[in-house]
Amino acid sequence: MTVKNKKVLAYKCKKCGNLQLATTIFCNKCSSQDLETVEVEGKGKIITYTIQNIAPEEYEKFKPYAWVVVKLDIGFNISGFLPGINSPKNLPINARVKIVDYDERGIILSLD
Amino acid sequence: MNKVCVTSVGSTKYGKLKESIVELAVDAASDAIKNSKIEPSDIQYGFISNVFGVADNQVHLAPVIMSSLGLPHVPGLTIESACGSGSVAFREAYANIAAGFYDVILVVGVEKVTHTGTGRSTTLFSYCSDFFYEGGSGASFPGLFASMARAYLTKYKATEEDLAMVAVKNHEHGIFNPKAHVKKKITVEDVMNSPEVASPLKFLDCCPFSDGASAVILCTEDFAKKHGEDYIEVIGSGRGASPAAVQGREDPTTIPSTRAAAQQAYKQANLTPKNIDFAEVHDCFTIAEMIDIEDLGFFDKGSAAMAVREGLTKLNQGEITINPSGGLKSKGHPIGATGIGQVVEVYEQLLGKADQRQVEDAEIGMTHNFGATGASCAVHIFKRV
Repeated sequence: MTVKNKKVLAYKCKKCGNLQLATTIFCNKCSSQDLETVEVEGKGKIITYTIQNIAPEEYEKFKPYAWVVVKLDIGFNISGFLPGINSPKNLPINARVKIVDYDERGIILSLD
Repeated sequence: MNKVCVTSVGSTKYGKLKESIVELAVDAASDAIKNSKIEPSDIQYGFISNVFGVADNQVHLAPVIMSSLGLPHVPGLTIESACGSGSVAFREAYANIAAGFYDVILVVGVEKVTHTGTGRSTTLFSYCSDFFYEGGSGASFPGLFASMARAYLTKYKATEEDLAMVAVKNHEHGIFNPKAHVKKKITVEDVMNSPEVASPLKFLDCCPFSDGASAVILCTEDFAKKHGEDYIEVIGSGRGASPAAVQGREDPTTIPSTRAAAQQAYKQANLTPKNIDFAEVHDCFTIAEMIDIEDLGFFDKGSAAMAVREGLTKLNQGEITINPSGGLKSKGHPIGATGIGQVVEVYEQLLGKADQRQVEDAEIGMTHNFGATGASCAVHIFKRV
């Protein structure tokens, strides 16, 4: 689980302060094992993305959509599913997005 | 460490092939053995690189292939590292001989997927991603590279036409390769007008799904001297790793594992990028080759588009020939075989056996092959003896 109530579950390293997704077990900066769970805001900006014209089989029914990489305001990146996007014209790099849901399509985002 | 040599190679054609996965592997392996003065009984170990054996109803490939070769008592090991399986298996064979565990090892890369169709293949390949974050959020494999392309085009003001020129160049080279999957000259317009797969990548920015197998025999220098006149030496070997998911990287326009593997290989060989005469690099998508030739140190960061535009990577026309075989793009990409197929090309080039695609005065060649979006990577440097 990475998302709860539109917040991202993160680990904060008690040794170096690094924040990372709670799915990585040791600190990915200093390798410390001393981490605490925190919830961070699911808001940030798009650093890159693609629009899947040909999607994996199970995702054909969800088109159009973009798969996006987002730099959260808190500092680390997540990636997820942004429905309804059919052209790069509708999605500039650096566009603001927020997490709105988490379901079988992964982390669901919307333009903020 | 023992000096390690490649003393023989073999390969099937790459493409949509009717043979089974085991038949393909055995064809390539027997080709490599028959092309040399090595006796089958000289082989002490077999490494098999493969990803989707299950798609052709066969896992535990190594003992099955060794048995089919008539070597049922020779141990084998199947290695999977997504599209980088071949180079990673090659590295393990190299390390085992360098360390003195074995004198002669057969490495066979094989893949058989085209019979599953495009939809199923797209899904299978998405399993090579960090599925929880990528495949499981709707990203296909082209989609992940498309996201890297979007970042690259934005950061360095390169164009989709620049990407297309990589495909045009590799198809020009592949026409001269009798084993290539897609032997067809294409233009920038052809690429730009081909259907979009995952924006900004189009159908002709993508390598094909291919079947095929390639095999090489590695041995100690002593063994090579005694048993064959045609051998090349491995003078550098490096491995690297990157965060498995694209989201885990600070900058999606560079692949950390390539840089790490290349650095190790250059250091061991005591060479710099300027010393490399030609390289077989991992061009699963056009954007990958642009990123590779920067990460391998052939061109400065952000200047690959200029290099491609000016033809600096064309066969015998520029600074360094990139992908004389046609690369994954034209030669094809049977993913378990690709890294071994690159060694086959380097062997033929360094021995002057590459006919119309021969790199002039080829003395030092490189292979660069990674798994998935570069989560795993191996780089090797070879020398004409």
